[in-house]
Amino acid sequence: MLAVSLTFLAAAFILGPELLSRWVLGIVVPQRSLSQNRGEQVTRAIVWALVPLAIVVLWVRARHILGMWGSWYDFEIAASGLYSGSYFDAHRTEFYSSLVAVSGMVWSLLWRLYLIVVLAAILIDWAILHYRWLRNALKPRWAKTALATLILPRVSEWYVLLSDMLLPTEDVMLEVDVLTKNGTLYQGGVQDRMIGADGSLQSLTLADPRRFLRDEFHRQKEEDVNAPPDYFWRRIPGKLFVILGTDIASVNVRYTPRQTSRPPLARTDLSEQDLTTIRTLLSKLKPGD
Amino acid sequence: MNGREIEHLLRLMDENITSGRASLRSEILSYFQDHESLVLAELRSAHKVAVPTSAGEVNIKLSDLQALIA
Repeated sequence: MLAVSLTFLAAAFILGPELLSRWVLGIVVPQRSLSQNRGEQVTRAIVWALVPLAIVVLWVRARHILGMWGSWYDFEIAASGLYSGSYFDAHRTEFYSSLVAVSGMVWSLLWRLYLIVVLAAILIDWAILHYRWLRNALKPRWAKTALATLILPRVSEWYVLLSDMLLPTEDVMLEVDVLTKNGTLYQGGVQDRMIGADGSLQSLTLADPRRFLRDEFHRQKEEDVNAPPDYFWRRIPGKLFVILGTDIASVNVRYTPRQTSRPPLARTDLSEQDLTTIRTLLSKLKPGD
Repeated sequence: MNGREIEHLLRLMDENITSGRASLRSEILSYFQDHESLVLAELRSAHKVAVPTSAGEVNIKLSDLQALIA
């Protein structure tokens, strides 16, 4: 009975926080997007349990919460009662009294532990959702590196690459060139991606897809080496285009400027000499031009 | 790639964007100086000027230029 109780406590204090954090993180980054091997999973489970548990222990010690329920003596009686049937028969009343005290202490630790884990997971969820803003807001290089070290390993590499997490600014959008295994080249904006339990790319959905006429381009290239490739892209009818991950040979990720991007000449970027050039130019326009 | 490697990549991209914008700005201002009469003629007739750059043709309005030095 003691072994069963200890197993239950280990599960509640070590596996519980890990499962809870996975569930909360899964709200933002789907569970299948979390790619980690067995060693990383075990390490993460221990860290998720030990760090918050240390905080909880400090919390309950500072507020003398455990003492309100009972003492170490209650642990000894409860453990002895669970271990030995004869001890249980001889101290039945004390056993139940201590069991209530121990249950109260475990409950005091557990709800605080789970609360801290949920709050930490929500904080990480927020950081994942606002990663680009957060990164741009942090100025010191060490802070950016710390953020990347803390947040990015929790998310699948495909999710990181094919979401807006890494977009350098709001002026650009995410586009990809996808080369399939049969040699066809597609292009389009990233609308969605499905990521497997092992972190592999299951499928990629392109918005406003285009297909490259590779054969025609090569034929034209034989006649004219300067043949511009832009003329050989053809729009694919339909709004969304799904490519299965098993068909993909390579993906080229591009950040293309939006139509409403920042003007090339912004006041904050111009030096006094640049402004003088513009002043000189405009001074040569007649008034009213 | 781990988090630090991705952060290094992002830093390179940031530097690339910054230098790209500086280079574009420099190309536009050089064009203003080298083709002044052409630029003035376009500004007079169309109230905007099309500047050929390495990133493609960039259209700049007269009102935007006036706002810059206002």
